Amino acid sequence: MKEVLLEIINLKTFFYTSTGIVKAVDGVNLRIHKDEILGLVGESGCGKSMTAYSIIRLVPSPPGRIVEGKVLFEGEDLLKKSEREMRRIRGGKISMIFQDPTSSLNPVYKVGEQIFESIKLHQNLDRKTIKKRTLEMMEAVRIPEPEIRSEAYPHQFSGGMRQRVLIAMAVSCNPTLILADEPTTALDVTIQAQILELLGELREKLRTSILFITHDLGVVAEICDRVAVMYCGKIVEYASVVTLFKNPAHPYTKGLLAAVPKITGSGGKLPTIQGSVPVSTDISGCKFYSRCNQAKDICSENEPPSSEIDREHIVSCFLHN
Amino acid sequence: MSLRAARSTENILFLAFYTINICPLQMENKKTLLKVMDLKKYFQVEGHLYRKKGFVHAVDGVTFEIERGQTLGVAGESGCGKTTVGKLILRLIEPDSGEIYFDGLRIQDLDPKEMRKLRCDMSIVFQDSQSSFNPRMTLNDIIGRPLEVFEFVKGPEKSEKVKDLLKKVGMNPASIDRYPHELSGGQQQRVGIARALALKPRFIVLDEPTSALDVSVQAQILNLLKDLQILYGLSYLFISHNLTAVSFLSHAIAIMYLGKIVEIGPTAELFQSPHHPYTQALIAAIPVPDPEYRKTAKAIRGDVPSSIFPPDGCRFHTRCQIRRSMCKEAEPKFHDLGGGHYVACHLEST
Amino acid sequence: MNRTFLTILTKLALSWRALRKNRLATVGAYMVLTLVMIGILAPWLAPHDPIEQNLGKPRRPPSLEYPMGTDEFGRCILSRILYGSRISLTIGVTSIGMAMVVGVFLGLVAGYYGGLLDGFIMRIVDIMLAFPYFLLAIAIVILLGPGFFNIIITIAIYSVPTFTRVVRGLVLSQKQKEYIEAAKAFGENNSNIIFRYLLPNCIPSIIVYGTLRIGSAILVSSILGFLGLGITPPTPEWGVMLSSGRAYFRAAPHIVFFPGFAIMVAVLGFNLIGDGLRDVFDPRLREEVIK
Repeated sequence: MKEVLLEIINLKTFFYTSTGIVKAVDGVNLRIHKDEILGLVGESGCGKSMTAYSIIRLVPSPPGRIVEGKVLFEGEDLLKKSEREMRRIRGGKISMIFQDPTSSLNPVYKVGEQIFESIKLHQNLDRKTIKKRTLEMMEAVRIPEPEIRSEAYPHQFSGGMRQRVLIAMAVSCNPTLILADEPTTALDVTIQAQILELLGELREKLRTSILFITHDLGVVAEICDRVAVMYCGKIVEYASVVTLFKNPAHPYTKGLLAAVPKITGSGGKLPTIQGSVPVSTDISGCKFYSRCNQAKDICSENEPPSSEIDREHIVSCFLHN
Repeated sequence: MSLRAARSTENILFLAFYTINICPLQMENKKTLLKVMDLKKYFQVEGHLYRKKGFVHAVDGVTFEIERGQTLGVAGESGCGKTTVGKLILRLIEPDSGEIYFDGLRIQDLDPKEMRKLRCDMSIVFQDSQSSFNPRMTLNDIIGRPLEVFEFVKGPEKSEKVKDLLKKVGMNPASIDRYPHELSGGQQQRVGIARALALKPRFIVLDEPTSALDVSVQAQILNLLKDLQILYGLSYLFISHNLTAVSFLSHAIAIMYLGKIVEIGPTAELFQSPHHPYTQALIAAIPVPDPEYRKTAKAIRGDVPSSIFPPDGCRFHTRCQIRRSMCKEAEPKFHDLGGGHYVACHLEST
Repeated sequence: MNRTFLTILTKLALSWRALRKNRLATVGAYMVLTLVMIGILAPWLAPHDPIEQNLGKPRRPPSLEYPMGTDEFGRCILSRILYGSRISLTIGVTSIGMAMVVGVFLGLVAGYYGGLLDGFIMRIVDIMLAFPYFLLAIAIVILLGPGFFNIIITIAIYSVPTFTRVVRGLVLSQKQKEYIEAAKAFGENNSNIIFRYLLPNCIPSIIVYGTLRIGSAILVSSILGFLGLGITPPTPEWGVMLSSGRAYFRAAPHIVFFPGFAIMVAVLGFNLIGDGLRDVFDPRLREEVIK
């Protein structure tokens, strides 16, 4: 059994708006092991990005707040650290790759300078070494002609290249954990394939763990070791990737898997999950009740407890109690 | 369910309505509804980096046909020109050259007045539905304006028709007075479809209708589009970068790269035996939701070249694994592989 | 017809509720409302006739008989302030209203059609804006002569260019948006696109800008009055009251103080409303997008 790198215990992040409280993250329990890629899957609004932001404490603080919970990283609770300590961790031990590479890079600085800066912030090396490392990083992410390209500006790069730059920045300080927030969603499918291949290679070389957030189940199948499925701020299922695709236990997971159009599929209709994501998170009982085709009465009254139905396969559902 | 019952009576009434045909266009008895030949559109670019003015070869000689009641999927990555093709057909953007035939009628030369009449028959669903709606209009107006403009219906009569359309796309007719920003992404997309259906068109351009949606909502919208096609005999041009979504709805697919079609053919055959290296790369790149599936090919190298200075000869040669010297020199012609399957590659003749 | 009336009422009610959340804006709204009410009710509220002179009691300080005292001609200042409210508010709202209609129309047309028409309109706008607006006001008023209507026309004229520019900018940014393309795809003609699609989306900015300009218009009319170029006496205009009371500032400061205070309340009130409206229209759109 691999060692646990990050453990999230009962994390709750709420947003206080004029129209009510939005429970973006509502009691999430998660574990990421060393040298593991954990996929965090869910549809928009389920809270997966917020979970990542909560880990490194980048939750926008006037409307949002981490209300409860623990985030244990290498034994220490990140939620109890000072902002100064967090700044040292961000980009250092834990780094993040964002969804939209265009808006994540500063348009007025050269690309090389930006990678340089991110190394300088976290490592005490002299200019020459940092410069060398910048070029090494660009090579590692397969940016052709790094010496020339490092003098270019972000708008002169394509989307795929920009994402590589972000990845270079993210791995430049040898992080133990990378939080990747939908890093390939904004990219074309052939570029996505390249980036996924690159991430796989980097993981082999550097042995970092990755929390891979996505809504694309195909991507999950391709790159993740374990998967957690989120719905309405809660984790509804957690399993190894093979188990999840072969033996999905939660009705939502089953619905998601069935709804993906398959190329070899026959004509006729796509199985869908009826209804849509509830607007208000203030429902008692299981949040999936209104859309579940296997719902029982108890599901609307109480929240389903998490149960371990198999080795490291956890589900929150009354069907498996 | 009452929706189905309403649909079947609707179906009968609708077929009757169709034969009477209020919309001012002649109905001809041919299989082909839309024919596009050698369509071209270049956008001028101010070159500050390059010091000279260049042209973005957005659409560079595109030819295809769509039959009644059928869907042609157009797939490709960003910058390949697929969205521009959709807008060119509707003449939202004016083509630079080429021919467009709608039901036998040559439409690229029609004056604005005559073109307006065609708007009844050719419709469009935009990718980002929310931004295609006037934020200050309620659903009643968004869906109802085409009815006001062309069929001169107003007031309660208009509301009735709008409510009907909302029901057809699976939405609660009571939401008629809501604003688009109050709806979810899936609902907005349904409203976009309702608006496209308002004038009972025969042809709809679907510009990435599901790209911004979650998987489960995407499935609902794709099902809806399929149902509507069967019910009303609609022809679709389904533009998307998502090959799996395209495959679900399309009878034939055209793969575009840098403004040109590189391969076109019936859906099943295209997936079973893709001939063009780019088609093969696209299909191989799609992540398969099966963790035990091993990828057969490595990811394709390189980025899409600039469409201002496309590569010489075959535009794909810079990234092609099997390129030969002739690929750099001449543009490939289309080879007929039979059954409506064509591919533009030099290596077909070998 | 009934339905549109109801929707306008509900929209006003909702805007009022949203406005209430912004405290400063509410204060501004109440200030303006007070001035409007006293303007309307002046005939009943004023203790004396505003132009009736009482030369036996000049420059009296505030007392029971004259709650704000009398000016140098023995006229009741309170009554003059109350009636003056009508004048200032009418000038402010009418002049900006006229400027709005003309300016918005020109801006819509210039922005939408572009080309030579746009060039022509904008060059005139540029020329007008090249002059400091105040000099322009003085020049126009000297041409037209003093008087109530001439002041309104003056202010309207020099206010048109900025409306045009603001609206043209908005139109240019909205013109590229997809909903305009969609409107064309579904058969809308040009005038419909301008008036049903572009104009309603410009209205929030126009209202905000207009409200702020009303405050400025009142100030300018007061200054013109102060300079003797505006309203003719004995009409009780606040600026004129300020001007004529200037000489007695030491001996009877109340003659200057009350009209000055009234001007301040009017301008501040409108400015606060304008700022509040700007906040109302922006974050409301932001708030709806909660992920």
